[in-house]
Amino acid sequence: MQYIEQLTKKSFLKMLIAALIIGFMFFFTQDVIFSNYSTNITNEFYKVTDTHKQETSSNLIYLFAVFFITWVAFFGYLFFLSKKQQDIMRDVKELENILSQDKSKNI
Amino acid sequence: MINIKKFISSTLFLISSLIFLLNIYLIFIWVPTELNQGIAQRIFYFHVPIGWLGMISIVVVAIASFTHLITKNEKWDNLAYSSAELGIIFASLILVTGSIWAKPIWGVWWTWDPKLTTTLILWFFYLGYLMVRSYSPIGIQSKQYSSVIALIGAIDAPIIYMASVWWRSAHPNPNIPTDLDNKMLITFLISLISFTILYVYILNKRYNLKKIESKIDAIYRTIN
Repeated sequence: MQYIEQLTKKSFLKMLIAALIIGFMFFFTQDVIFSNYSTNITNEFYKVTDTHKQETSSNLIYLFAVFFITWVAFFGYLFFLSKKQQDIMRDVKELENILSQDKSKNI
Repeated sequence: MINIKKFISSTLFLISSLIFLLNIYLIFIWVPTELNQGIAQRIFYFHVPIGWLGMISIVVVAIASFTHLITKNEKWDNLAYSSAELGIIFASLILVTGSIWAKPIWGVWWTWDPKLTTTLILWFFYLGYLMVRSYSPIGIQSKQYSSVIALIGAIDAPIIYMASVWWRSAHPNPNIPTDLDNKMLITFLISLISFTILYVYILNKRYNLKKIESKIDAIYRTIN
């Protein structure tokens, strides 16, 4: 239990996981992105013809665009949240200063 | 003593990360390619869960707004605002990912299809909600105005869902085909679960921040 408690306190763990996600994204997708055609069509029902090969390979860019835009949006929003958090911390410090000034005036 | 809220948040993040890694593997490597649409069909594994969460967000905003109007409890308004902020991201992503899919399949980036049009209306509702909150003077009135916008916006959610049934639409009917390949079904469901967990995680984060923001605003108002 103490070990889990320690893990939750460490923010670097979150950063490590985020880095792992990005790493795995590129690891998993590099074959699909950089190849002319995906070779994972195993199901007989979904076999494609040569004419389809041309079409599907040209559509890879659309799939990657969706993948990229989705993650940019999520990471962008998380960045916006971290900026918000910084603003809140600044406000808290400002309030602390106001309180300490009021206290010194009363003394 | 372990902080329960932090533990839940970290667990959600961990589960979300792991399930997304699996999801990426499934979408890019494991799932078979569809015969007619080719690789572009895999966009659905992003587009449909995002669409689902775009609609869930407005329902959450509406329920929280309605409860806020009745109880006047600040926490419901915080939840509504947090969900609206996430909702506009999802609504924007629905439109963008849908357009990217439409280009290779329909040959156009945009068409005035009923589902697309009603989704665009939803996007405007989110925008209206957030604009009222940003530009109205701080206080109870802006919260009430935005709550009303959310309630009207929520009417759009079932209309989007049923658009392809009620009107002639290029979108398929909102049901999973019975002859869908098992691998496709599994990938779709895992994608749906992973995006939903991510939504809950980010909503929880935003809600906590909004709660602190509201408290600080209240303190400033008391001081001034």
